[in-house]
Amino acid sequence: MQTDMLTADRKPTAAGDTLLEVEGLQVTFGEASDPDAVRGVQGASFHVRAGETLGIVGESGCGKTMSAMAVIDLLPEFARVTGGTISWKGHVLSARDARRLRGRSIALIPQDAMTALNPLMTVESQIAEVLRKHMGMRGGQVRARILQLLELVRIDEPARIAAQRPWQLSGGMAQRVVIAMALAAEPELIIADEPTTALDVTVQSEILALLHSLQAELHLALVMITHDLGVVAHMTDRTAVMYAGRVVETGPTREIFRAPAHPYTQGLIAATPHPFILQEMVGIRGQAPLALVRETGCSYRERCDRANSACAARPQLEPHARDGRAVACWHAA
Amino acid sequence: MSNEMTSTNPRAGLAKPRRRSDRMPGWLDMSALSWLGGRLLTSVVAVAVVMTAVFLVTRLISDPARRMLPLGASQEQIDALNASLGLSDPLYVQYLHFLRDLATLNLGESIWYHLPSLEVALGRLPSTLALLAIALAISIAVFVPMGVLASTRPGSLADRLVTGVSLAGLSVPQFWLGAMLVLVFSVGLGWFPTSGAGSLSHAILPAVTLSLSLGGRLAQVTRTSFLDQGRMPYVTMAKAKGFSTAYVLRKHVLRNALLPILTIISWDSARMITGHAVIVEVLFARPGFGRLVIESVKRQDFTQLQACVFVGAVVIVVVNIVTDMLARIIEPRRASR
Amino acid sequence: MTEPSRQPGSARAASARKSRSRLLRKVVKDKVVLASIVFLVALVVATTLAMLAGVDASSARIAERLLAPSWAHPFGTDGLGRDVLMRTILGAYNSIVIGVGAVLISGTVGTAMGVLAGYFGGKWDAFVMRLVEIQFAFPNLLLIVAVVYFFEASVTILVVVLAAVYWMVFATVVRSAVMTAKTSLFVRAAHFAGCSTSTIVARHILPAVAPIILTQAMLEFAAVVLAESGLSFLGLGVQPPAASWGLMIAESHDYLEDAWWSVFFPGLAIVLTVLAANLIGSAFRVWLDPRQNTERERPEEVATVA
Repeated sequence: MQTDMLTADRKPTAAGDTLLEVEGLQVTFGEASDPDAVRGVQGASFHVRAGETLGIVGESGCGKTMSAMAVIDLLPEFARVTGGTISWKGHVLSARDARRLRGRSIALIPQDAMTALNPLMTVESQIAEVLRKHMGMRGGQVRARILQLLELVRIDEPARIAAQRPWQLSGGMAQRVVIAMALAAEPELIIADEPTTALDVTVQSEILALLHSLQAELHLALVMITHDLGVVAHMTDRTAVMYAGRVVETGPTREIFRAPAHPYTQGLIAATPHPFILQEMVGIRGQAPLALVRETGCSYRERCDRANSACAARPQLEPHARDGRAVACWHAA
Repeated sequence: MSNEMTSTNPRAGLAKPRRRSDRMPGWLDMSALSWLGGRLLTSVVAVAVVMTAVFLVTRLISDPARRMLPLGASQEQIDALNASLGLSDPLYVQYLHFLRDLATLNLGESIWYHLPSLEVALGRLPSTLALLAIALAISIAVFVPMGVLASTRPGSLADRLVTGVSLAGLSVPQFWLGAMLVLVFSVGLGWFPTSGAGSLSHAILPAVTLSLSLGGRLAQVTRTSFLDQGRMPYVTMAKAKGFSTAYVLRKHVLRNALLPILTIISWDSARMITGHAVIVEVLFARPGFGRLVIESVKRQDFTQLQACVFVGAVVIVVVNIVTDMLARIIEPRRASR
Repeated sequence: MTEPSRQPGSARAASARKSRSRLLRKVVKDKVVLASIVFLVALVVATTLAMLAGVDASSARIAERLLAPSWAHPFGTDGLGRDVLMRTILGAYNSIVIGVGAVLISGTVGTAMGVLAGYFGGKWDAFVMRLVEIQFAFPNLLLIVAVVYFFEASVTILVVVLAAVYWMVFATVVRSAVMTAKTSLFVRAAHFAGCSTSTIVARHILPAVAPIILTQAMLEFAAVVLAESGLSFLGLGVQPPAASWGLMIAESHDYLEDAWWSVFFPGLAIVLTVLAANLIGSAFRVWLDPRQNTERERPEEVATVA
């Protein structure tokens, strides 16, 4: 199993090959047997192809971060994967395999770069440990590569920044450092978990532009986790919309924005302000529910205008229309 | 983008142009020196306040000469002693003399030993320090690993056990614990002498007694510190970089978690010299600094007591400064706050 | 405690009541804490009854000295033939009086100082913190020894001296709690609504920090009882012929080899009392600190983090 994994990992991937495939993933908080247990993720399915960007979008608590962290087996101590499969290049991953992949084939860009850096270590030593472990580099090689990486993320004075400690960096600079750290092991897939939420708006757009160009330059696959539809629209090839622990709609980003099929996606788009077009903004009434294990119906029905008796049964993610989309709704538009 | 280059921290910018040719180690720059100056000043004030309190208590409220002399002493005898001790001068003159003597470290002669009281007090310190060193070694070797173990599985049986033991360690009076240890290991099993000093075996039971209350705190602080650090995002990030839990614990968590532990160790040991060690030395009849304090009280030797308070205050102040300085070296972030 | 966001418009009072009743339920559920509370209450009742009944446990009965535990003397007798059980119960009186007294005084002063520093900040904060910093350099036991030496030990002096040593722990804990409460939304709202400072402090700040004060009081009671027993052991605390646990151990220490019970039982009383107070205090601290809450509480919190 392990050797399988590694040989598969070394095979060059052509654009369009599926790198990561998540099927019916379930993440449960607390005891699975407890009827009051909460499923952070209850049956999420999505995939990422080599070189493409997938956006996972949804409100806080919809399970988007949990789904991504489950892929690299980094769930918090109270959460466990209780169902579904995660495969990498066609091979189903065990938790052990996932740990072997992380940092090497799959890198993470965390929510808040500032706290994700060890406060006592210099930027240089934090990148160096990755190069030593995954790239087998030693001595002067390491130093040269670190400067290279920092230049790659458009840092003007790499030598100065390399010698600094996290608390001496600005938020944007820390984010660039973390991106350089993620690139150090030359991964094939990067999971970016709300990479810009902690930053000022102007810095945000710089970082997003940087990520976008790096992704194209280095032929990276990118999973972009965000609650910001604007980010999704500008950066991603495909989108998965999550609601209460489920993917409710997925497909090419352009198509989803042109004609959202799920009522939740429609509501989300209607609730997003547009900078240039003056329009009436419509919120979604009610609040996202806790995803309880015992829940059986469509989790959006409390807030949905189209809800009827059919919604007491849970809709599955079914192919929809013509453009490679899938929607989980009995009344998809 | 160049705007972003300048760090949000103004001091970081200032620290940057530091020349490599500077002979000073990195942490000892101007801001560190001014910090140290401030700390030293506060410390001098603190010691002065302590000694002033002692002065007021001894001169204002009580009549030291009357207490020092045997019960039926005549007024002449009392006056003579007062004059020889400078106690018949007006209070402010006494205070000024007192401060002058303090500044020149002239704390008078011990009434009992007829030796400079400061010398007597300092002479008793090594024995106490040796005892403390053994106690420290025991509690670091036993209780720090216990705290780390507890932190790895919060809520587990091991965790509850460690929490219970450390709480018990903090709740047991030293003089009783020592007595029980003597009862079992000296009286019952005959492994160690019951009291006295001289050899290492004399020091074992007192050191174990001392180490338990120090260790109780140590285990608690270690546990909390490792738990806190283990939940930091940088730990998740280090794991995401592909490192094993053991590596992350060793390379990332350990150093970050160490600071509160070091702080507790040095603060508590300073406090032990003037606190728990007194009780343990009395219990085991060890001729250390703490026993001197109690003996001075029993012998009505108030110059000696005064010198002991002075030494105790200086020890605490010095240890506090050294601790904070170490903390600044370990965690330079503190210096920029 | 992300709950409130899920209960649109629910009154703060209701949620406070809920958390208070939750605390009560936790006390009942946690056997160790319940046992600790029962023990302390029983001790207070026993010692009060013994004092009221005027039990005499001080006069010597040489014929009955150093008797081993038996039905007549469950804890045995000491070197003067006095019943160890009776003296242990009476000894609790001084420990409790001194502990409660010192905690009340240091708690009041410390809370006032903490509110001063935490709420008004600025010069007040600098002043209080400087005081704390200076007292941090005090060799506390030595100072107590010096004071007790010159004043003659008495319960009043012990209470005052111990309160003087422990107020600053209260002050620092209350200060940081007040600082947190001050920035919370309901205090700022009260401020903008034009409530006077005294109203805000009395109605909003103090209730918010009350549980923290209670926790600290419990822990400090433990510390004071331990300190008092230590001083009494050194002969600087409660004076004979009154009974005090520390004093009893000091008096019986010479008979350790022949009459272990005369040392063991008073010490056990100290351990159990201090341990009980510490257990209650640290259980409260854990329950009040959302960071320390384990598994059970977590999912609600996380649902909004993910």
